[in-house]
Amino acid sequence: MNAFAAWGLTILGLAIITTIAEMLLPQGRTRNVIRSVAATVATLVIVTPLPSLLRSGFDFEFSGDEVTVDSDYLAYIDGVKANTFASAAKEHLKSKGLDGDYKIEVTVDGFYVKSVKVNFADSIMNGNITNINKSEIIKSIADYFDIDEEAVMAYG
Amino acid sequence: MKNKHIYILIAFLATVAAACCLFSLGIDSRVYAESAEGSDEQTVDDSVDDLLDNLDLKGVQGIIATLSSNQLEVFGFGDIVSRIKAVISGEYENDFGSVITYVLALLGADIFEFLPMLIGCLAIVLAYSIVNSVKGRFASDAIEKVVYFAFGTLAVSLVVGYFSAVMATAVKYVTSIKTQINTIAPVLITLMTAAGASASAGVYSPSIAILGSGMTNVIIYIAFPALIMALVFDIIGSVSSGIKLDKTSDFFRSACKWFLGTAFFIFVAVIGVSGITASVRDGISVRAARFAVSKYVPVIGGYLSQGFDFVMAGNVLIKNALGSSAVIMIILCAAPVLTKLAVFTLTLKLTAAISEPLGGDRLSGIMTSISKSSSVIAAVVAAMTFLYILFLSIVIGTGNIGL
Repeated sequence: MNAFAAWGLTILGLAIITTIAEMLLPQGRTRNVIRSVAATVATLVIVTPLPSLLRSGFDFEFSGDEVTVDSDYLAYIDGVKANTFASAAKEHLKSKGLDGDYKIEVTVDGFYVKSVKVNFADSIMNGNITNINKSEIIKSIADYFDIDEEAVMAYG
Repeated sequence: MKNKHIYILIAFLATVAAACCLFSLGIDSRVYAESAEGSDEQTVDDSVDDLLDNLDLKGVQGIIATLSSNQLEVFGFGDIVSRIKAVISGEYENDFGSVITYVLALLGADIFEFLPMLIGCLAIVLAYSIVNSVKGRFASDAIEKVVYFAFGTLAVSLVVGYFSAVMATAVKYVTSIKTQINTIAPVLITLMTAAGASASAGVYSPSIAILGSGMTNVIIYIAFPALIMALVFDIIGSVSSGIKLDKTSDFFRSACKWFLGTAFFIFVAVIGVSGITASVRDGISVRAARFAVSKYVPVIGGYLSQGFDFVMAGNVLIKNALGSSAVIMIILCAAPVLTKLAVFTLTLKLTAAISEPLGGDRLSGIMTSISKSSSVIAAVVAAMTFLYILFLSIVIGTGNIGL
């Protein structure tokens, strides 16, 4: 940018000097010679940056800063989806007679369920289920979300 | 003549883009209003409120804080959340009458701003004409040149003072576009991702970098300095008879037009084609996801998919309302700059037209040369605004297919 400005200012200065010289000099051959010399110098000054410009080449890299998305908001949306999935899964298990106080935590990837955690720590099963049938619950959840049973982790 | 064609083309394209944008928003609003009326309106509104509570809109609010009181009056709200809610609920519609009134008020103010320049230039031309007529045949050629140089320098100094103010406004505006793009676009991309249009979000992210960083930098650091150089050469060529630099200034203007024209064309082509492709891909993937979700829950599928619909619809509604607000914001910011440039260019052309019969042919030439540079600056500003509006229109139109 500085080189660009310096280039322009050189031409500007040259033009001003030539104009003033033309005003001061009388009509005649000297004046014509000075005008020719000034024109030649101006041409040289104008074309001076071209060789260096061609040598360096043009590099218009458009890679700006990366767009930073609101990760907190996306986490919130994923949380809403996960809660919706978890609620639906609980309803599904309830309809199959597998109701209880166990907690389901769903991890989502876009609109798909990635993995599920089932927390049996505080579970107090209702009267319909006398034993905690963890494997049946895990299998039902895996079938429900169409994921492998390995993706359903149970603890507690 | 060429400039006129460029203006007409840009104005036409900008109008089409704005119309498409607002039309698409209108369609969206109607679709959602109908679906909302049908079953569970309160729940959709609640979903939008929840989403807005969690969305970070501080940056957008910061842009609104920079608007003047007149601009805020046209914008309708001093708070972006209130505006989004009003647009979504259908309580607020863009009032184009107030936009036109605002632009007309700006035109009036600009005419009064440049009136002293017109009067000053005409006074200089008149004085030059009088001096030229009274000097008679006794004055030498050199004295005539000195007189012209003195009056020419005076006229140029007056005009360049106004030109630099106009140029500063244009630079400030392009910088503000950069800020707006880098503030609003990430929010729109976040909302697109949240609505399931992650492929489109991926496609648009590089476009934002090009538009918000590359293009604005090219304009500020290459185009505007080149146009200033063209102006300087124009002035030198007009004032000095020793060195002729008219063709050099023409080269700068021409190079600027070709370079920016090509860059704008490539950007529009790339964002248009890739945007349409990504939009269709997102539509299919969202539908596939919803089909999979309904398959998960054969008994209570309605319950689950309804929850999804609220989240997705809420995100899309917010995206469209924010996009339309951004369009209005950029129009409000561009209007003062474009009217200023238009009035400045027309004032210079008027000065040149009045100067010519008064005998100031060469002074008239200087005014015409300066007006050429300001015309190109106006074209660059209009083109940049058009690109941003086009980008917003495409973003508004994307991610709605899945609903």
